[in-house]
Amino acid sequence: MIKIAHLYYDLMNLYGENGNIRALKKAFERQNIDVEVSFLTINDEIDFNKFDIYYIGSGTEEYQLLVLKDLKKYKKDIKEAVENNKYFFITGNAIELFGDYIIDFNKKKINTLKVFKYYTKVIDIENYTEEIKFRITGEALLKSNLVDELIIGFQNRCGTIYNVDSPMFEIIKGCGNFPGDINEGYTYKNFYGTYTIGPLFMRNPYLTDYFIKKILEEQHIEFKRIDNTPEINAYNEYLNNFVKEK
Amino acid sequence: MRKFLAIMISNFINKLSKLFGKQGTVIGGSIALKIDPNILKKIKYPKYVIGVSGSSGKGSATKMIAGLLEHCGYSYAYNSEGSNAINGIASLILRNVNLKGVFKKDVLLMELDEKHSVSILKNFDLTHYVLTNITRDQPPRNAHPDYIYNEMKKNVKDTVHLIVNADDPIIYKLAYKHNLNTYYGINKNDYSKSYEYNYKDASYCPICGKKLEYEYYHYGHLGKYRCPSNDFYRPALDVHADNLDIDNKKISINGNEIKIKKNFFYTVYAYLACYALGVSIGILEEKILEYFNNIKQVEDPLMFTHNNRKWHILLSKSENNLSYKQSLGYLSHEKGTKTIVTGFNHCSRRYAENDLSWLWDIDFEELRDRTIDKIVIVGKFRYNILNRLLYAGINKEKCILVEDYTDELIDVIESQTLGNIYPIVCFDTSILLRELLKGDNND
Repeated sequence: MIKIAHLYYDLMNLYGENGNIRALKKAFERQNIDVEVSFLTINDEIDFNKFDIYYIGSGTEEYQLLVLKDLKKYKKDIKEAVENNKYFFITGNAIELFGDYIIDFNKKKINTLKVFKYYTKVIDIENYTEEIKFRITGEALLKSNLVDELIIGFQNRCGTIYNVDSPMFEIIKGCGNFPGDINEGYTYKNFYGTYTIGPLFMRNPYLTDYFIKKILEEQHIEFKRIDNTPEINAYNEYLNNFVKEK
Repeated sequence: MRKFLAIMISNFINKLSKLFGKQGTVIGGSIALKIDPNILKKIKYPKYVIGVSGSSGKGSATKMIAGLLEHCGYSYAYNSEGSNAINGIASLILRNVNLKGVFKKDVLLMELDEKHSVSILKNFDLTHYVLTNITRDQPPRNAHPDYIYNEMKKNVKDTVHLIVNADDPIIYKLAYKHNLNTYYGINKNDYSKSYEYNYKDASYCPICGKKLEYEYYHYGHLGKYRCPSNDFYRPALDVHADNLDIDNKKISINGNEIKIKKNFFYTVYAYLACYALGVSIGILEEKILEYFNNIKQVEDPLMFTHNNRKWHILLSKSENNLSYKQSLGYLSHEKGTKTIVTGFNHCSRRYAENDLSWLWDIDFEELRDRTIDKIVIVGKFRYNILNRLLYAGINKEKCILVEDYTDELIDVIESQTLGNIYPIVCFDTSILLRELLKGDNND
C-alpha cells in the first residue's frame, strides 16, 4: 500500500495539478499496488511521517502565502521527513515555499520554510525582457539524469529561484530557475521540485515510471515495464508534432 | 489643435481603412493616440459611460444592453465588433465626437477586455461598470483569476455604480467594500448542484481565510456561498432569476416570467446583467420586460441538419474549463443518442504555446453517459484528450481518433457513429467544421 498526501489540493490547484496525482495513482495501480490518496488542506492535521509521498502544486500568490502560514506549523516535521527520505513531489510555485525566503512584488522579504538554501525573487518590471513580460510562461523541454527521455512541460509563474546547487533538470527549451539559467528545479534526497506544470507526471510517463520503479524497489517490490499506455502515445505524438520536426 | 487633428485624422483613417475592406475599428484610434496620447482625456463624455467586463459573457451582455438602449430610444455607441482594447475603444469614441470633442450620443457603451482596460480607464471614468465573472481563462495570457481580479480592481473608482454578478465570489470581492452596487444572481433552481466534481477557485474567505461553504452551486465557483464566520457571503440580490426552465427557455426575473433566447444556463446571466443595468439607469421594469419579450428568436447557425443527422455545435473556449463545463452541462439535458466531436490543433489563436493543463480541470466525467454512442477526438492533441477521457472513466471502445479536420472526419462521423452530433469545439474549429460540411447535401 502506497500512501499519497495531496496537500492543499483546494488552494494549490491552478494548472491541472490533479493530473499529477491521478498519474501517480494509476501508475501504481498498473503495478497492482494499492494506493490511498488523502486530500489535506489548511486546518487539517498533516502527519509528515504517515505518507510515502507528499505533493503540492501551483497556486495564486495570495493562496501561496495562506499555505505558507499553515505549513510553517510543520517546519521541523518537514525537515525531518526530507532527511528521512520521504518523497516530496513539488510542482509550480510551491517550490518557492521550501526555500529560504521570497522577495515579493513589493520587494518585501517573506521568510519561507528554510528547508533549503535557495531563495525566490518575483520578477518585476525592471527585469522584463522580450521573452518575459508579466510572467514566465511557455512550453518547456528539459533533460534529466533520471531518465533518458526528454521531459515535456509548461511554465506559468512569476517567481525565479537563485542559489540552487542541485537542480532537477537541464533546460533545452523554456526558462531555467531564472532567466538565462540552464538549470531548472531543485532536488535533494527524495525531494523533487520543479516549476514545470504540464501536468508533469501525466505528460511524462517515463519519468513517472522512474519514480514508481524507485519507490517499489525500495520496498522490494518488482517493477513491471508497461509500454503501451495512452500516456506514452500522447508523449510520442507531442514530440512528433512539435519537437522532432524542428 | 492636437485634439482637433487627432479626431479628424482618426476618423479619416478609419474611413479609408474601411474603403480598403478592413473593419476600420482599430487603426484610427491607434494613430489618434500617437498624435495626441491624451486625446481620450480631452473628450466631454455623455451622462452614461458604461463598461462591461469579465472573463466570459461580456460580449453577449453588452449586445443585450445595446438592444435595450435601442428599444428605449437612447442614442448610443458601442464596440459591436468586439474591439475591446485601447485602440479599438479610442476609435469608437473618436468616431462619435464632434470636432470640439463632445460625445454626440446619450450613452457610451463598451465591452472591455478584463486584462487591458486599466490603460483605457485611466483616461476617463465609467458611470456604470457591469461585472460578469472572473474564471480560469487562457492561463498563459491571464495568469490566474486573482491576477485578473487585481487588474479589474484598479478600475473600481469611488464614483462608479457597479452592476455585480453576486453569484461569483471573486466578482463580489470587487464590490463588497464599495458603496454603490446593484447585485444580480440566480436563486436555487432545478439545475443547482450540491457539489462540484472538480476543483474550483475562490475557495477561501478573503477576510478571515476560512473555507467558503456553498448552499448550492450553479457551475464552477458560482453559486450561493457563505464564510462560516459570516464575514463574507453572497449579498441579497436586487435582480434575481428564479423558476429556471432552461430546456424550455423560460425563467422569471424579479417575479416576471420571460422567454430567453437560448437554452444555455449562462444566457440567464446576460439577461440579468442587462436588467440590472437597465434598472440602475432608470429604465422602467415594464420597458425592460417589453424589450426581453420582443427579442426575436433567430435561427441558430450552429444547429443544422446534414445528411439526415442533426448537428449542434457547442462553442467551447479552449483554455477555459468552465466554458467546456457549460457545454457538458447542456449535453446532460439533451435527449436521445449522441455523438461527441472534440479536439484542436492549437490551444490558442493568440499565441503558439500549447498549455494542456486546463484539460485536467474539465469535468469530463460527465461524459460517462449511456446515451453517448461515440466520442470522436480530432487533431494534434487527440492522444492527450483520449488520455484525459480514459482517466475520466470513459470506455476506450467509445472513442474514435481522427488525425485532423479533413473530409475523412466527416466520413468517420457519418459512417461509424449514431445519433445527434455535438461538436464541443472552439470558434475557429467550428468554422473549419462548417466549411467541411459545406458543399455536401445540406438539407
